[in-house]
This record gives sequence, structure tokens and C-alpha cells, in this order.
Amino acid sequence: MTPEDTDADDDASVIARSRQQPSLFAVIFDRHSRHIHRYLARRLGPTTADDVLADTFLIAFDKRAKFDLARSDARPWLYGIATNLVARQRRTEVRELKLRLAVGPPPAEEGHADRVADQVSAQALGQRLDRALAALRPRERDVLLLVAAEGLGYQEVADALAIPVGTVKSRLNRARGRVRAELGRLDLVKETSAHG
Amino acid sequence: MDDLDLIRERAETVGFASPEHLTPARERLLAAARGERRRRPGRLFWAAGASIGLAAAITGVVALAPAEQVGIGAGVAHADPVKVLTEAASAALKEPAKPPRPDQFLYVRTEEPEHHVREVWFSVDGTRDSLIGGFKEGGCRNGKAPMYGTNDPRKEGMLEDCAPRSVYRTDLPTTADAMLAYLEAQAGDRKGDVNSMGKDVYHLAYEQVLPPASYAALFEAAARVPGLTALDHVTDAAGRPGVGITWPVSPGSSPKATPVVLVFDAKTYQFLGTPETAVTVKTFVDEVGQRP
Repeated sequence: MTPEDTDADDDASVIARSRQQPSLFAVIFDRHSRHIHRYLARRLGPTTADDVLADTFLIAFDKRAKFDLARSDARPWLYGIATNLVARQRRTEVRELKLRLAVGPPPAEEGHADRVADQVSAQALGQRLDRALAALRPRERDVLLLVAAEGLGYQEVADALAIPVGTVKSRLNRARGRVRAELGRLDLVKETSAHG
Repeated sequence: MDDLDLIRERAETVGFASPEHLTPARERLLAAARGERRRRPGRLFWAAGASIGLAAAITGVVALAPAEQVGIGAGVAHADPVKVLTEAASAALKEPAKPPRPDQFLYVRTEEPEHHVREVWFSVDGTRDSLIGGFKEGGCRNGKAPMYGTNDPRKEGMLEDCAPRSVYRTDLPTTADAMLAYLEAQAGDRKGDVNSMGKDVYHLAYEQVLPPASYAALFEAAARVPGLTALDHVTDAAGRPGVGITWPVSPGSSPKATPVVLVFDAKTYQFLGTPETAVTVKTFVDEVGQRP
């Protein structure tokens, strides 16, 4: 396809070559930008995501000399850089979560605890989830979203955030505990599951 | 369903952005790569100048300036951004309208620095699998598109919700006023952000096709955007000379960010690309992967 024919090369070898041939780094962009953008859009909303995506790849480009060439896949590394940039945008992220709360219909079941189970809809549950996520500690939210929303494995999250796998697991457990507590009774979750 | 499923389901309401939506960020990256390539010969030049002595070093300063500006052209422009964009609009109107068939593909070949070539094949009506570089993007059929290149290999080829997008944009306004309103609406909560509008102009002009009236309206609308500057002597990534229009970087972006420059042919005012990307072929073909 391209004169350099990078299609068959893994990320590590493309990044190694991009140290001499800087614009080859565009291949890394082509491979991973959609995922990183979607991750950022989920966390920060679409407009902020556009700018933070550009910054993520500018930073990655600058740091490419430090990329660990033993890792063939650059995606966890890029998720890590993006996550650090999300950290600078905490307010935007929490605002995004609250914005989603605001645009949904008002939760009619509020204050009628006895009828919650009957009235609960996926939407109301989603709103409750957003509220729970907004209340999480940022570093726990990072781990939870990388695992649950982005589908990264524990080792990939550890690589992305430069923390031990054990820390990934403990943060995930704490985050899940808080979310479950916020979501309330487990039967409520089962109820939704029965509806598909 | 547990809490993790719930989070996954909630996240899946946000899907992939279209590849052309991501091109402005890609452009910024290529601009940074260009900056890095130019620094090296610059330093070498200085070292040589210094060793010869002060007089030579001063000559070196003079000689260095054009070398530093390869691709972005020399300082003050005689060109006026409004005039350049107005000419680009009239050039667009002279193009014959050649609507593609829905089953065709838009093929765009872009030459990038260091002999890198980007090739894309986008399904015209968005229902067939597209090819972007070496990567497949699932076509949207009956509201579902297969996912390729997922983080989780188990999800490879699974279907996600979608809406088909056509790369032949018959849905856009055909007057400058309406196009400006469209661009402003696209900016959403960034209304009035020139940079954001610049990105939209670029991605509409780049790997999409607008019928002549809309294409002209796009440049006419761009001509009304405040804060643009024109550069007289620029070259696109393939070395073709032209005039440039720069879009300022939005406040608060990374210090590495450089303005995007749109390059137009100095005589015909056709859109050529940018200093990082030269659109050398843009046409419709019958099959994905087919070159004209």
C-alpha cells in the first residue's frame, strides 16, 4: 500500500522507525485514533474529545523515543496518555456526566421508593450509573472505565496507567463496590436484565 | 446483567467517529512531525556557519530562514484570505457535477511527507465496508455495522448500531449564509470558535465530495470567518506551489499545536491539501481497493 509497506509491522517496529522518519507516526494514528477518540468522547463529550485526541497523539509523538519497544501493541500506552489528559479535565468529565443526567427525563420514581422496581427503566438506571461514576474517585473511575467500557485486560490497564496489576484489581474492586452501592438493590439490576 | 455490563451498555451509546472527523487531529500530528524534520537540518546548518566565523554565521541566518519555512512560505502575504477563498469558490462552481452511484467508492490518495501515502476507499452511500489505509470500517446496513479492530477480540465482527453516512454530501446547504449557519451549528457549544470551524471546513474539503454549489458555499462561508491569514508562497506535501490560508490554533491547546494551513493552487485556486497532505487523486471507483 505505502512505499514503506508498514501494514505487516507491529506498532513497536513502526514507532522505532518513526524515530528517524517522524511522519511514519501517522500509521500509529491510523491504527488507534478511532478507539482513543471514542474513549475520550465517552468521558469528555464529543467536542473536547477532538482537541484532547490531537493532544494525546502530539504527546505520544514527543514521547515515542521512550516507548517500550518490547510492547508490540501501542494502544494501552495511548490509553494511558489519554487518561492522563482526562485527569486535567476532571471538571469537564464530571460536567459531561451531569449533563447526561440533565438531558434525560426527570426520574419520576424519586421519592416513591416502594414503586422503584416497577418504574425503573434502562434510562433511569443509566442516570443512576452516571451519578455513581461522577461520585467515584478519579483513579478508580479510570480503571473501571478502561476495563468495563473499553474492554482492556488487567495487564493492559496496568501498562496504560503504569501501575501494578494488583493495584488495577484493587481499584476495580473498590470502584465496583461503590457503583453497586450507588445503584442500590441488586434485584433492581436483575429486573432490567429480565427486560433484555 | 451486572454493573460491568451496565457500564458497557452505557458506553456503547457512543460509537466511533467517522475517519474524516479525525483528520484534523491527524493533520496536527503530521505538522509536529514536519517541525521535527526541519529542526535537524537547521541545526546542522548553524553548526557549519558557526565554524566558519561570524560573517558566515550571519549569512547563515539569512539562508536559514527560507529553509525553516519550507512548506509554509515566507512571511507577509500579498494574498488576501477573502480573495483566495472567493476564487476557490468560483473554481468549485466551474467543476462539473458528477454524482457517483451509491454503490461506488470515493478513492482519495494523499501524499504525505517522507514518501508516505495514505489511500482511502469510502463507500459512497455508507452501506459497504470502507478501507482506510489498511483498515476496514464496517458498512452500515439496516442500522447495524460490523466492528473491526476492536479492543476486545471477542467483539471482532460483532454488530453495533449505526446510521449510514454518505461521503457524497447532498445534505449540505448551497448558499454561503446557510453554510455558515451550518458550520456554526456544528461547532455546538464552541460557537464562535474559529479553530473548530476550520476543522470542519478542512474535513469537508478533504476526504468527502460536495456537489459544486455546496463546495463553493463552503469556501464562501470560510471567507467570512474572522482571523484567517493568507500566505503567498506555500507548497503542499507533494511540493506543489500554492497560496495558503491559515486557521489559528484555539486558545488553550497544546504548545506543540501548529496552525493548519489549507493550500490552494495559485492559478486555478483548486484545493490541493495542506503542507502535510497533498491530495493527488480524488475520484470515484467501482470497487474497494481499486485504483483509477
